Amino acid sequence: MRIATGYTQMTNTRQIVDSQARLALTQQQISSGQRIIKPSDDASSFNKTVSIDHMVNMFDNYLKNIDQMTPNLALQESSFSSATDAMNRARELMLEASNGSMNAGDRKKIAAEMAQIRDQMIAIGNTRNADGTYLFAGSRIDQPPFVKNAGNNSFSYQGNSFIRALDVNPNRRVETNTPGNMAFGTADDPARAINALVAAVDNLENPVDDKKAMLDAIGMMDTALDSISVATTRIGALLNTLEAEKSVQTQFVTDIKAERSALADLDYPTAISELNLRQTVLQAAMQSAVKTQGLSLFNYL
Amino acid sequence: MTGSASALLNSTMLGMQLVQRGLSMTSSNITSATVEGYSRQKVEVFLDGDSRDAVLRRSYDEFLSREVGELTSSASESSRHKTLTDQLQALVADPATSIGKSVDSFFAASNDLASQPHSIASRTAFLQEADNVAARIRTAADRMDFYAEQGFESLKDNVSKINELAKSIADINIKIRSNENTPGMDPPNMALDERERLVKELSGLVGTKSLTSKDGTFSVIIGKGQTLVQGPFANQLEISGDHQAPVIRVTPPARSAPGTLGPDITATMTGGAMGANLKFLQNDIPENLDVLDGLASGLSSGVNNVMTSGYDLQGARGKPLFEISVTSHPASSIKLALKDPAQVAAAASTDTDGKPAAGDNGAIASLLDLQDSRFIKISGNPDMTPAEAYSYMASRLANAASIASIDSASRDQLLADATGRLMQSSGVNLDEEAANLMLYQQTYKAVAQLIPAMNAIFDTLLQAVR
Repeated sequence: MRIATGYTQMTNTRQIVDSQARLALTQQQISSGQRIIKPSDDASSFNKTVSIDHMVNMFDNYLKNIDQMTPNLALQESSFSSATDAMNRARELMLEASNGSMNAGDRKKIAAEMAQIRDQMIAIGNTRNADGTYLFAGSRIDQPPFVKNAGNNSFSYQGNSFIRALDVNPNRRVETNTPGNMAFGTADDPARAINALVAAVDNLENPVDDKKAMLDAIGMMDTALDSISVATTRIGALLNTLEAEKSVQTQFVTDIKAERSALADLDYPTAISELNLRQTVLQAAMQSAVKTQGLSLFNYL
Repeated sequence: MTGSASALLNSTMLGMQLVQRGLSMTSSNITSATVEGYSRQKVEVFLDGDSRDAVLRRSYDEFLSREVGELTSSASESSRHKTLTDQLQALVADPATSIGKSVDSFFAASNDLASQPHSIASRTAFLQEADNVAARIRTAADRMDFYAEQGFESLKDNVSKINELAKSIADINIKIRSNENTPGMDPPNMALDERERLVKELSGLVGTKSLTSKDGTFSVIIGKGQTLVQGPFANQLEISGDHQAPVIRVTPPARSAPGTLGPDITATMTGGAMGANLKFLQNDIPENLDVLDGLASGLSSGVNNVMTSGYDLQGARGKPLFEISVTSHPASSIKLALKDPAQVAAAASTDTDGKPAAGDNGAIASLLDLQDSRFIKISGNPDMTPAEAYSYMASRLANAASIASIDSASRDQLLADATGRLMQSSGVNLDEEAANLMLYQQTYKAVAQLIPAMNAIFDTLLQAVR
């Protein structure tokens, strides 16, 4: 086979240019830390990273929601706990007051404590979030849900029954608030807990001992306590859900980030040894080009 | 054979001439060893009784040359296509600035707004992210348009180069026709090589086939059967239309009525850089723009449907968030229609005072549902979520660039192999030439020795007669 001189030169040049291109790519990978410089370098891995990036962005939202909802639900839980304690204390006081062996002074003391408990319940019902919005107002979060009616001491609920829910995973939206009427009221009286206390205080402040009104007030407290208890259970369940979601999703995000890194990030030890290899190959290609081009019969003429 | 003195002298002179031809061939081969397209020459000697004749003929293999031409065309086409698809994939290369990321950020802002529907800050961020989605889509569409315009410019350039080459090849045909096959004359080797080189250059621009006629001229056919050169005649191409609809025609015959258009041959122009440019303008750009348009119009109408079903802060019916022009591509016209954060329709209903309750996030909650809903329509595909549509677009571009890159590398290799084979037969090997040079030098010396020998013979003869 005869080899054209121009062919040798062409082949040598081609080999050197190819080696240089491969070396440049490895250098680029090393300086960027990325295995995939252009999507076409590894289209199937690149395509997977596009899906993973989207997943990571979505799950960042879910985790953010969970982190935001958790303190909010915890605040509701502690409000219910205080409300339960307050109502139980009020019930005790009422039972004590309805004992019959009370003198006017004792009654007055109890009335004072009951008034405090009433104010505490109003404060709980009108609890505000960190951002100043009302926690138990449904969607009417910019106004206090429990307000005193004009003309008498009773309260009414001016929030609504709106329940907000946020996504915590692609298939699950978790409720994040408890409307005040649901937590502290009944179907007949959305402000039942406060009104029970209002009725009790009114009764205690009334010099005439009204046994029936006392028992009625205790009955109202019992139904209010039932509502608070149901609401407490619900919040507990929601908090458990969030905790479980958070741990599952944190793990998932860690896993897919690791997968992305395996797909697109550079493995330095491999890359460095490849760099050495490619440098050697380029050097060899250049040396062999110089040597073969130096070979010529003309040298001997 | 009866020897005569004059015959002896003749044959000596002839021998010297032959050796000189050989030397001239060798020197030509040596000086042109690395000239592209140069075919090694060799001396062909004809014996005719006592007389000898020699011509310099190219060492040329028509089959190999044709193979190189065809592979040049396909290598050039795939290399150009690689360059073009490489440009396009830049649109999806950077995850931090991608359309997909902007859509995710828009839904993240929606998510924030859902937990704080009354917050002006959240509403403002929501509008900013929506604006960003529109801007990213528009930028991608503009970029595609720009690449298409560049492709069209390149196509114009292809056409003008093809026209020049057609004229040059026709001119060379004329030279070759008058010189080819003249008995006793060297074939027009330089012209033949030059024509070979021009046809190869043409092959890089468009698929090219050449046919040799009896008179030695070439007919050149480009693409799928369009005659470009026929002997001394060169057709010319014309380009019209624009980057969205390029049209290539052949110049009408000279005697046509003014204003006559030549036949439209756009569809037949395959192979070479021109084939790649046309494929890019006719397939790659419209197909990808179609995906982008689907995303733009789907997202716009999906989001607008939700927003117009809700209520803004003042209790007014929601207004559309995006607007797209009906007269141009949705992707190049999509923009934000709302500027006032208070007008974002986050709520699903109004309250007793005619305004929505501050915590009503009903409409935004429905908007969030869109993130996982398959409502984006892209022709030829099942409906997709916005993220799926982007992912489809990104993988299309990445796959196309990857295929083009692999294709280009393999065709380059095929071309290099075929070029190697052609060079093995037509290329110059300098060592071979050096050996020939020595041979001719020695032969020249030997033949030259015949002259003093003859001189001695004549002297002896003349003295014998005296």
